[in-house]
Amino acid sequence: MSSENGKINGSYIVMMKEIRLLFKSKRRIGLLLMMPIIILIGGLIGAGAIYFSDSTVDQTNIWVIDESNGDYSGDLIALWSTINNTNLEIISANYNELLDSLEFEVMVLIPNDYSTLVEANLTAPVYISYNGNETSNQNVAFSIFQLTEIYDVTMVQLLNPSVQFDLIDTNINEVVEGDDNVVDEEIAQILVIIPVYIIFFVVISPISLVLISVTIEREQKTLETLFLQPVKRRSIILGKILYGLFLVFFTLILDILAGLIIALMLKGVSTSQLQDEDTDLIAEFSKDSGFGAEESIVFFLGIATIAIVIIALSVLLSLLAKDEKEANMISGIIPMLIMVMAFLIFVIPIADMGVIGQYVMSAIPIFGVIVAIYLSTLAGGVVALSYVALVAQLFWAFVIIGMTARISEAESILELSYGKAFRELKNSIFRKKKK
Amino acid sequence: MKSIVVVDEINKVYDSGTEALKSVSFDVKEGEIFGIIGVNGAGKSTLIRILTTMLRQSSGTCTVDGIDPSVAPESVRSLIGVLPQEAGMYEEFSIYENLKFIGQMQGLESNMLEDKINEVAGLLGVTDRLDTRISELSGGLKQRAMIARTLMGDPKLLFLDEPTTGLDVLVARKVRAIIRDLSKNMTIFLATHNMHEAYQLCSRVAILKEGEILMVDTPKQIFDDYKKGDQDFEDVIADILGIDEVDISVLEAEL
Repeated sequence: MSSENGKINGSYIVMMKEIRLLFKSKRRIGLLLMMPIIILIGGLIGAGAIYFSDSTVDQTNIWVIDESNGDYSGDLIALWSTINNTNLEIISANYNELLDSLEFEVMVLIPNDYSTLVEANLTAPVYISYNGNETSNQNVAFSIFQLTEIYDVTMVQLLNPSVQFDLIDTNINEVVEGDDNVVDEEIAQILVIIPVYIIFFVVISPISLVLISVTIEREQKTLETLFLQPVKRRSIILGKILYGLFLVFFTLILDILAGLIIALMLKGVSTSQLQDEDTDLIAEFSKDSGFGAEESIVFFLGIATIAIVIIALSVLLSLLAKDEKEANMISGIIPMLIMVMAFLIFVIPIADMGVIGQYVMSAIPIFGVIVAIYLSTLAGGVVALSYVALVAQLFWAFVIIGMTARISEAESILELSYGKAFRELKNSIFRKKKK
Repeated sequence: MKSIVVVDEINKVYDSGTEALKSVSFDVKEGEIFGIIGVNGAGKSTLIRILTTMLRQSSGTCTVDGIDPSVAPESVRSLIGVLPQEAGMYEEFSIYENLKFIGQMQGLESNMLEDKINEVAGLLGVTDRLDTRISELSGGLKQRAMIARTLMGDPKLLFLDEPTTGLDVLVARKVRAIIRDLSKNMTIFLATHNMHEAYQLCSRVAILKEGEILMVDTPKQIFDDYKKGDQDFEDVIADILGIDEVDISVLEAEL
């Protein structure tokens, strides 16, 4: 028998004990499953809404400017009008002016020489433009393109076998607002909201479970026995942090599973059009935000470091919480703090700050990652400041873990209060300075 | 005989200003059952917490098997078993799971763990209840399981803080018999306010009043030296502590 367990060994034993206790308590399992269940319920409601609203999908307006007076374009327009969930209207307007105004969804120009060219068995152009700010417009534009191609082959070429080439030259054109290379503020803001949501879904249950893992020990009078074992107290603290990280990982898996179930449900109830839209949305989002492999890795590393900081903070606060009621109160406050931090991104003019100011912001615990994501999105790629934010989060995690380990050495650990913890930290720093 | 615990001029003042221990000195010989007698609030638990590394003394020195608890707490904790006054076990775990966890924390290898669990469960008579959840146990069985837990690390010195408090008479008798059996293989440091228990079990006792040691001797010697008329041991201690029988009964009724 060893007189002193290794740090990792003691921590591992504590972590495994917590995991075994977790699966023996219906209440704790309930807490663990809370977020995946919320996701599932949300998904069910969403799937139900899609199922019942499928027949009343918003219609896309197709404006046709027919300058050819309809001699040969009538059949074509009639064919386009069969596209689902569209409202075709023939209008008289200046094509170029409308194009500049962007006040259209899908627009088709049949030029005035169209009929003449078709009559002469010459290739006649048709111009399709769609507003790229709405993905459904793209689908309609491509449907028009496909129907026009079919019409070209089946109607014109079959009726006129001597024509060996396409009679109709279909030009398709996407028009979007602003410059493609500049990512707009809106996407940056969406990307800032995403980590906040991920933190919410992945970290809330672990925060509660970590907090009550210590307060239950206090209430069941097992904390003293735990600290009486021949293991360094910091190993016990590390064990609780490892347990918290296990919970984050486990919750993430459960949330992903819940998400997959929802995706399958959506696939079952939605039309193929909707699925295409979803795929297009992701592709569009990825393209517009400049979200590539490096961005994804840094983004998820950011989330991971935030999780470590939050779990370490939870373990620290769990030592200070005198009972479960206080632990529950704290587990409600932490997510609120994250929300406030996310809100600050809309209030503080970070983008207009100087470089030093931005770097200072990136070093703030939790908020630093949000700042990094925001600035990276605006820049259209990972900015150097992001790596500073990641290192800063790890630094804060170590500081919090160190503080927790230091406080755990307090002789009043069994009846710790905020005042006693502060004194312990102060004494610890003071003693170090004296040395 | 070698001293396993040496306490020299220990003082303990809490942040609130309360003086819990005042110049306390004594030693505990290897193999004896050493009792600390005193009413609630006398400083018994504070003394045990200092010796078991949970508290630090304000001044003075103490050693456990030659090791200073404030200098090498993990080394001291590997030598001792402790049953705190307000101890508990993981309610959702069975006795077996509780013992296994403590055995692992004590550094027992997995091949030795099963044998040790069976050994201590046999000693405490809980073998047939090993798979029972703690929340389903009676008070007596829970106390036996908690003593079993203190033995998982093969301690040289066992600290028992009020081990029979709250137990009914028959269960308390059983626990005392267990303590007597255990003393054959280890030193026991027993804190109690039950004078009869101290008289029956302890080789020597220290009488603690308001943080001060009034005397250290064998219970029989104290009884012989201070007995007046037909007083029993409890009356003698009450006289020494300066409290009458009514006070003691009030204190015990509160427990």
